[in-house]
Amino acid sequence: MYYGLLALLTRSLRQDARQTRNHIFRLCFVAFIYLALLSATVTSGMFGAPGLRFFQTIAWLNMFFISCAGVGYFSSAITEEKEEDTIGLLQMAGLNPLGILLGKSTSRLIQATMLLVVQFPFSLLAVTLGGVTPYQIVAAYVALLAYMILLANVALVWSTICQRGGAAAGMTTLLFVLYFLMPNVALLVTAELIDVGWSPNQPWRGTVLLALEWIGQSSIWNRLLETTQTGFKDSIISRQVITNSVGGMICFLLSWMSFNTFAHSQTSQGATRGVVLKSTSRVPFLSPGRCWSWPLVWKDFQFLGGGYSFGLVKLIGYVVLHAFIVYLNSSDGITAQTIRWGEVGQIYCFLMLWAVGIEACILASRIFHDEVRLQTLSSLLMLPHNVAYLGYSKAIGCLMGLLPALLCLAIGSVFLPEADLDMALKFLIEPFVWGIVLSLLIFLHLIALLSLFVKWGALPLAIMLMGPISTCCPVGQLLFFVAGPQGMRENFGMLAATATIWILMGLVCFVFQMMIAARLQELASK
Amino acid sequence: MTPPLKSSGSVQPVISVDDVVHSFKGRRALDHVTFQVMPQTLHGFVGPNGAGKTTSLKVICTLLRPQFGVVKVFGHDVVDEQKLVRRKIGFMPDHFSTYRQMTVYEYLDFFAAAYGLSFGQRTRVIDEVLALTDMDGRKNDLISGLSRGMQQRTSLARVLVNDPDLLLLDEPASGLDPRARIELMEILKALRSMGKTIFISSHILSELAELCDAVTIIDRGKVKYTGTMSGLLLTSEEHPAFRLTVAGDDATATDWSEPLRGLTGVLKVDPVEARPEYRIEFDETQLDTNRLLQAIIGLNIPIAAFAEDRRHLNEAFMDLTERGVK
Repeated sequence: MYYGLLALLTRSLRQDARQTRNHIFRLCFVAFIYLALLSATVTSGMFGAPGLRFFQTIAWLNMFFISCAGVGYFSSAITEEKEEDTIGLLQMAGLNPLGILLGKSTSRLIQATMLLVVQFPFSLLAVTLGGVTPYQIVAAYVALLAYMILLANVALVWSTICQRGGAAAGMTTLLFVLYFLMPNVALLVTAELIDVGWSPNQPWRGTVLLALEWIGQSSIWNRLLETTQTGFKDSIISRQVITNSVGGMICFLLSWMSFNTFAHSQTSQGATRGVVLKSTSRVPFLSPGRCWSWPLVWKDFQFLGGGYSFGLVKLIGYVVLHAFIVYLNSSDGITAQTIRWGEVGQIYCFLMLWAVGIEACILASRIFHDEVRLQTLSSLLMLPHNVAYLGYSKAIGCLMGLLPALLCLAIGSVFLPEADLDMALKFLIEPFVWGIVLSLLIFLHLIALLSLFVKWGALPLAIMLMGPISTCCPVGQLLFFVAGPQGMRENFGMLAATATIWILMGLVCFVFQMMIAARLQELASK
Repeated sequence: MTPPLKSSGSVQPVISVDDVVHSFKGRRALDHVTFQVMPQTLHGFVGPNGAGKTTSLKVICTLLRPQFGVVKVFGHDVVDEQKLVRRKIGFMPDHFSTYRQMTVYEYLDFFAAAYGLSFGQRTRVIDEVLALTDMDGRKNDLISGLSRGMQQRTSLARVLVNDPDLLLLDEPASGLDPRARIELMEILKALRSMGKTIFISSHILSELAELCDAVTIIDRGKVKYTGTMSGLLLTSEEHPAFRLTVAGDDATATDWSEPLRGLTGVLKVDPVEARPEYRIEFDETQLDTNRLLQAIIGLNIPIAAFAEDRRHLNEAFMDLTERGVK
């Protein structure tokens, strides 16, 4: 009786156990932990509590990794079957919705849990380094596990509802952002309500406040901040653990109940392309229109970067974010005098830098991967242009997709305090800054390259690879120190170091681009 | 193996594949492959799965560099003159190579622009190819919402936007329903009549036999036959042969073999077992088809049918290719 139910799950776990690459991947994760351990040990003389710092690195890395997995790995559980039109076949083979959900999603959850389990004994080494207790480590891992359960099942709901993996990943990301914002908003609202006279002892108002308090304490972010503090003594089964686990289970039930409704809707029915409008829409000027003289720039801007319509949506979103920051930084009512513009500029620029970075990473992961997924590489490479032209044109198209974020960043910098602006301008010849730019460029190239090798997860894989790369070759930092000593920094040394970074940047990018071009040609000829 | 179809006189072949070898991980996908495709012909490319058809096509269309041998398209080397070759050909792969989030018009507009056509040229060309492929009614539809047959037509329309002289089609009819297949073949006929050279790889032999002027059969990386379709389907390579079907109720009762053998120029007469049919082979230096038919009528044989004795392409294919999977 249970064979049909668990068939897919059993098969998936067996496959996972047999595939060497999965074990190598886990081994790499452990190796990374060792690198972090090494780094903590080496620098233990300079900073206190090396165990705590090591543990913090691991905890935040795990959170980041789980978040990336939620977007890529978990959200494709059911959509990949839909895209291959195999849901019907699975059901014909006697698998019911519960069996499919358990087999496709829960197996992935177990595999991801294995990653946490495999590193747990090594994380305990933090105790020997000092500054952290085993209790803290257990609490952090339980919190991460609960977060993973929630994220996996939220992704599962969207994977069940959406027809395409991209849409499911997008919706999961949106909810994931809300998940991080909501606790802080709840705490803010709670404070406001208490200010206006609400009390926990009042009948229904007390319940609302209690609910807001639970929401406020449901964030993994806040929970990790707590557990990684010295002297943590809170219960392991916290409100975050309870809310996240229960939320995960509710999401699983939702997926189960909605499975039959969404699993069989045909992709061809009412084919849409999200926010990219058609020329026959009510606002044709926001549609892609006719192709430009630079066709690849047009294509990637309109269909990868989102085009005019999505650009407008992003612009509105970033402006709303700006308004929200202005609201948070105004003391008594919003007037020009009460707003702390300097702080607004700092926060906004910081957030916009992140937005530009995240958008760039997403575009890098899709710039070539989408061509592979849609099997359009052969048609593209058959055009009478060389691969370099194709690649650079696509990159320009993607860069145009970043324009709304870059524009908002430029506007945000207007609000920066004069000192910050001067510092930012001075940074332009700082080798350290260029070292960071170099790392970012390497990272983007790495994502684009990896996306040509893996079906999903180029972004988390690149993050994992960048860790050891930055640890082993901290080029920016190294040059900063070389060019740093006193007089040298002011004159020739700093310029020389910056120039070296530029040359290095060009060289590394060139090597990556060659590798990407070779891989593109290889894939097109397959 | 039949000697390759040679260019007649001064007519230069559109595709010239000469002694090409290509291996993947030690396995030879193309083993000294040699054949030619003549201008304005519909040339079929047939072979079992894994025979090397797609590899050959990818070499011809410049996506794959041959490890040995020379491939020329319109006299241009596919390795040294890639751009020139690419401008003259249109390649349709065996999968839908489409941007599903685009509308049909946007898709064609993109490729037309990528081939460097001006705005005005694009408008004209797209209208023409949409009309040719009968897709003008669906030009504002998203490709993701189109049926398989429609998507295949869109792919074909895309191949045509740069007005290529040579079309390379890899399994264009695979997965299409009979109607879509017939419609596709009609479009190919129209294209041939427009003077295009079409090199088509397919498994649907009956349609190829009807459509193609020439054919190349490849098996396990080796060319088994290349030449005219009629040459392949003829049962005798030395002398022409015709099949005579006798009419009437007593058809099986009368044996016409002896009178037929007595005709001047007739070399061989084979009665077909249990059928009122005779296979007649004759010496073309002494006799032609007209005179043979007149002579048969002169024998007062009640004729039901008289036709060239041809094999079906299936039979030729089975004879030339090896049994079993690789």
